Amino acid sequence: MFFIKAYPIFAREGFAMFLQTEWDPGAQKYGVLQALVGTMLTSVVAIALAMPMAIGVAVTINEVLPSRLRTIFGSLVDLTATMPTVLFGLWGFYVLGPFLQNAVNTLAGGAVMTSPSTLFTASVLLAIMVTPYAAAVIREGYALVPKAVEEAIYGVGATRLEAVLLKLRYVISYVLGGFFLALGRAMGETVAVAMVVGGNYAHLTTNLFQSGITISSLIALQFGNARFYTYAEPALFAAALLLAIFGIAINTAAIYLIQKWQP
Amino acid sequence: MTKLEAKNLQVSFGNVAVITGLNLSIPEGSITALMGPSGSGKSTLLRVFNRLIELYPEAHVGGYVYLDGQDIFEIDVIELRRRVQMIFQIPNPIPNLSIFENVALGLKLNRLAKNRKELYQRVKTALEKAQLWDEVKDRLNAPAGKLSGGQQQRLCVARSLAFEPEVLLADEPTANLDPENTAKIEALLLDLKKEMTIVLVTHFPQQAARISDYVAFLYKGQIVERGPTKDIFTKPRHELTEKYVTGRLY
Repeated sequence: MFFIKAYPIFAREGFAMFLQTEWDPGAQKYGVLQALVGTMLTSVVAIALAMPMAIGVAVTINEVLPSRLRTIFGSLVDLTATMPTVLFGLWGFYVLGPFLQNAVNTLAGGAVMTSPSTLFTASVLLAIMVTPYAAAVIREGYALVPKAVEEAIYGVGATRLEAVLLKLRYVISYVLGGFFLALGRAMGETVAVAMVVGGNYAHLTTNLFQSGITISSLIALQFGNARFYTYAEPALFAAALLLAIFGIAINTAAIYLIQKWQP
Repeated sequence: MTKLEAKNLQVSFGNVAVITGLNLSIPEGSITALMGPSGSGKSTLLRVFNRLIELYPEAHVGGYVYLDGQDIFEIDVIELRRRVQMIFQIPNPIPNLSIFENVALGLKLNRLAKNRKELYQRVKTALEKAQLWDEVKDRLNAPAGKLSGGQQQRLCVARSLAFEPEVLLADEPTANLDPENTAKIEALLLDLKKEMTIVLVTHFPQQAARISDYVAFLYKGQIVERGPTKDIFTKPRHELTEKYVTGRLY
C-alpha cells in the first residue's frame, strides 16, 4: 500500500528524494534526508540517555525497594508509559524546552541553543518518554534471575555492585529487548516530537541544538496540506515507507539478538 | 581444634522460627555431616555460616557464630565468603559465563591473581583438583550451561577450590546426581578434608556413614545429638536419631 501510494514520486525522481535535504512543496522540492537524519539523531541520543535511566530504575525497583513497594512503584512507572503523548508534548514545549535552552546556554556560556524547540529538546523528551518501556522489560527480566544464580554470584565474593552487573549480564536478552523496544518507540513517536522539534523542513543539520524535523513529525505536520500538491502525498508515503522498513529491520535484529542471548 | 562454632543460634523467616537456639562446634580438618528431616534447618544453617542468609530479606538471625574464634558477623562479608565456600544441591554455575570464567570470576572480582598467567594457573589447578580438567581443557570457553549435571557440580567445586577456602559447605551436593557422579564427588570430599574443613548436609545416612567423621543430627532447628559417625550409627543415644538412621523418620 505504501509503495503504491508512493509510486508517483519514485517514477518522477527515483530514490533521489532520500538524498535531498529540502522540503518545500511550493517549489516542488520533496527531500527528506534532513528528516531521516533528524530521526536517527533524536533516536540515538534519546536511547543513549534512556538506557542508563531505564537500567537505574529497573535495578532500583528490584534491589532497593522492599517487596511490598516493588509492585506499586513498578506499576507507577508503567503508568507513565500509558499517558497520552500530547501531554508530554505540551510539557516539553512549555517546560522542558525553555529549561534546556537556559541550562545549555548557561553551561556553554553563550547562545548555543537559540530556540527552546530543537532536536535536542526532542531527544531529551523522547528519552523521558521511552524510559518506562525499557525499564518495564528490564525490570521483568531482572526479577527472573534465579536465587541459585544470585547465591553463586554472592558466593564468589561479589560486592553488591558487581552482583548487579553480573545479574544484568545474565538477563542481557531482556536489556536488549528493552533497548529495541525503546528504540522503536523513539523512532516512531510523532505528536510529542512534532511539538518540540522546531519544524525545520528545509535545512539539513546535524547540530542537536538547532531546530529540525523527523520523518514521523514531517508526515504529521505536512499531511494536512499535502493534497494541494501533486507529489507531496506520494513523497510523504515514501517517507512513511522508509520508516516502516526501518521498523521492520530493527525488529528483525531485535528478535535475532534476543534469541541468541537467551539465558 | 574447633573451626566453626555456633552458639545459641536462632534464625527465623518472618514469623517462622527455623533454627531455635542451636549449639554446634565443627572440628577442623574433618567432614561433619548434618542430617535431619526436611525442614529441620540444615540448609539454613549452612547459609548462616557464609552469610548467604543475608540474601533473604525476610530472614532474621540471632546468636553467635565463630570462625577460628572470630565472630563471623564482624568479619568483612566478602572475606568471609572467600574463606567459607559453598556448593549447592542444584549445581549452579553461572550458565551464560564460560567454564573458565566461572572458575576465574571470584579470583578476578577479588583480585586474587596478579596476572593472566597466574589466573590461568589457578583455574587449571582448581579444575584439576575437582577432577574436571581433562574433560573440559579443550573447551574452556564453552558456556558452563552446556555441561552435564555431574560436570556442572564438579565445576562448582572447582569454583570454590579456586579460593583455597578454609571451610567448604556442601548442601546435599549429590542429591541430583547419578551414582557414578555421586561417587566422584564423595571421593573428592574425602580428598579435600586434608586441606579444609567440610560441612556436608545430606539426606542419605549411607553417605554420612561412608565419608563423614562426625554426624550432627538436627531436629526442629536444634541439635539433638552430635558425635563420631560410628557412634551415631551403632549406638545412638537419642530415640529420634535412632529412628532417623534406621529410616523411620523422614
